[in-house]
Amino acid sequence: MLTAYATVLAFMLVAATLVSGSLLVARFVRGRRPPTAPESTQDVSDAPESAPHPARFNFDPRFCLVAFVFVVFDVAVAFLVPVAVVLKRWAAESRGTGVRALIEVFAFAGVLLLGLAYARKNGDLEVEATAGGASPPTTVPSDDDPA
Amino acid sequence: MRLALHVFALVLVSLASSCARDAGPQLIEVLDLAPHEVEAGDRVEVLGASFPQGKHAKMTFRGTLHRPGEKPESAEIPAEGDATSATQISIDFTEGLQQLFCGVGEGAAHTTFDGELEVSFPAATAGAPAVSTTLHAATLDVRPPTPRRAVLDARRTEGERALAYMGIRPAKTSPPSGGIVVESVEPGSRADKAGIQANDLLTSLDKLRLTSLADAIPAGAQLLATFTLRRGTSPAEITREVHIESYRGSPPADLYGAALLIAIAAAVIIFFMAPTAGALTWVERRVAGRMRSRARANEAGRRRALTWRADGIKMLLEKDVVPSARDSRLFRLAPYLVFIGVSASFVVMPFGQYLIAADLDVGILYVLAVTSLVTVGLLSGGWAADNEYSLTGGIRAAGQIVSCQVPGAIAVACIVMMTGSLRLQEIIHAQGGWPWEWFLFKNPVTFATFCLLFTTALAQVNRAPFELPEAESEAAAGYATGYVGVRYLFFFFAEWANVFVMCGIAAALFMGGWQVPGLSTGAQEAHFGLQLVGALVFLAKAWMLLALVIWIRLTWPRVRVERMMALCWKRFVPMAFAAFALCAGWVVWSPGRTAQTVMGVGMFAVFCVALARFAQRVRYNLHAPQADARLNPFL
Repeated sequence: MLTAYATVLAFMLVAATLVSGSLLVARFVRGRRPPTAPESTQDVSDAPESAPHPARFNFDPRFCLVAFVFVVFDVAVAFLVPVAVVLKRWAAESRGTGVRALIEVFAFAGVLLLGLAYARKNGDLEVEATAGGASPPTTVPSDDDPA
Repeated sequence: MRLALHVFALVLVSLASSCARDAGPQLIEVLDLAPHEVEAGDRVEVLGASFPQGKHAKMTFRGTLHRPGEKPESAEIPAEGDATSATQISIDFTEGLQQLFCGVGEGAAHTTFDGELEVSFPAATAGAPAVSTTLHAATLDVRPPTPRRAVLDARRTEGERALAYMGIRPAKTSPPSGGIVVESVEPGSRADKAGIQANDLLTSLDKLRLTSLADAIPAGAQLLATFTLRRGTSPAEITREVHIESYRGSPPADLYGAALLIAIAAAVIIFFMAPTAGALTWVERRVAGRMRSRARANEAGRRRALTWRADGIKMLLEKDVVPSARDSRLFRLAPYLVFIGVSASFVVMPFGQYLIAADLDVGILYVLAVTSLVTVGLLSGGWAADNEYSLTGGIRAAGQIVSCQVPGAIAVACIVMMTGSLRLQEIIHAQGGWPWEWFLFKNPVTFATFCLLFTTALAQVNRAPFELPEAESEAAAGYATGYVGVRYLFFFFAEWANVFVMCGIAAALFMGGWQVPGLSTGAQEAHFGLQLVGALVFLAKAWMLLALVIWIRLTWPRVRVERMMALCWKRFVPMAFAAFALCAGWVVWSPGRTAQTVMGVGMFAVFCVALARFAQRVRYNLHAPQADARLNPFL
């Protein structure tokens, strides 16, 4: 059992080593550049007026409300998973046990969904497009790959 | 005064205890248990005298459980039985009892119980004390359900290693009475020093009865391994103690183990994950070029296959810029988080029956957890770069996980419910090789669940139409705006690998993983070649889904962030709960096997018809306007 989690640790270790190793190799492989080369992303752009501004903007507080709802639901899902694991065994034992478990789970999920319905009615889920600064209302399809 | 008080208390206690003993008159007597070796389905007889015939007895096994390679565990196990005659009570040795003795699942092992057995009959009249008695020195040897071959082999190897460590060479053949015959003892070895000789019959080790080499693993609780053995024809059992101080936790063995784990991890990450991610960038760009009728990735190498390697080298040579103004530590940390999150999810990627780094017991839940680490990386990277585009990208990444993880996780819970396990291998085992045995076509609800999981997973790995965190038309490169060179490379390396993770996990959960159609898992397990075929089948399924991901990306316009959040919370979450309810109903009121097969085949047939109709339509669309051959996806 512990070996299994040691494997997880090994994977994380190798991944971290790969990143730091690549950074190290890159340091030796690339040539030294003159000190005038850009030191921050604000310097990269050719046209200073189109360079990005520092990250100072407001975003819709409902964004946080959604995050709260998320925390509630995420914990709820964590509670649903154990039931999901044992339900089959209980149902195989006797249908009555299975049905009782079902009713209990639905009572639990019902309360949650009531809460979600309330949040929705309150308009808490209607996050404004400004969540993320000056994003123009556009749905232009992606035309270039990110790499 | 104090002394008098003490004496008084002592007298009181002894009086009370003698009263208690008197309260249960010992009318019955227990002598022994038979047989001493049982497995599920057997009947155990408790032998004794003056049992009330036909009455129901409650029994408690109280003592220690000895298992190979585990510390002795104290246990109190309840059992029930009926007195079939005045001299015996018979216990049905159920699977439940077997689990209490041997443990559950893969951990179940051959167990020797050693302790006392309390037998009690409830009183005939209400209020009267129960009649009970205790058998001291009861032993019971319990066989577990037959473990998987791999588990058995591993235990056998471990047993052989333990014996070799002590210097004992076991005979090839084992005697019919059980136990292990010593063929020879290495001179000067630990066993030799302890006085074990050739031709001894080892009967137990650390109180665990030896029945096969798989049992010969010292409990490890002490520095001594205690053997009992028989020598020559004498029936008397002799006890010998072998020193095993450094058997466990000896640095070389552990170091080898650690090195092996690191090697496995490195092999998976460097020889599988990296080329897959790289090849995927190439495939995607080539397909994009073809679908959009323009030149793509057309510089380096034959068929331009070297493009992604050229990209990597270019990134390696770029100047490493870390914005001086803000949180540079967080800025440096972000690519690590992202890359570690993705790499760690490869631990449970089930390429084949044994081609899995570790089949964790929390399996699919673990995948959900570590892939969320990627979002933490994106958010912290976006925050630390300190410019509006980066932060926008980071916040959008958070917004996506906040919206999409809940329906995605519930969709996963549906599948967990259908199988009753979180282990990916068990989820694969619950399906079959043929498409109509997959969860994808099990019933309409699971098909909908797949669509739900696939859509939310697209959002979680930032793929179109949900590639908001890096939407170049609104936010430059999103969270990666501040990054150049190697750090930037690892963000996108991780992103592409994450797409593979998503497709691989979906293939395991819904499309039968590595199962080859027409072969039982046992038949596949028996042959190494077939296991490789299984791995290829798994990869083929994953790449099919990858093609779907690329296709979606090239054809669907991007969704706006608030639309995406609203879609998840207002549509997907209620849908996911509905799917959960329907799946739960399916599990409780599960239809018969035949009905399930009919439904699976029916679903698959409908799917095939829809697919054929779609292909026909595509052909028609291509032929009707006499489109340029370059547009033909079938070329």
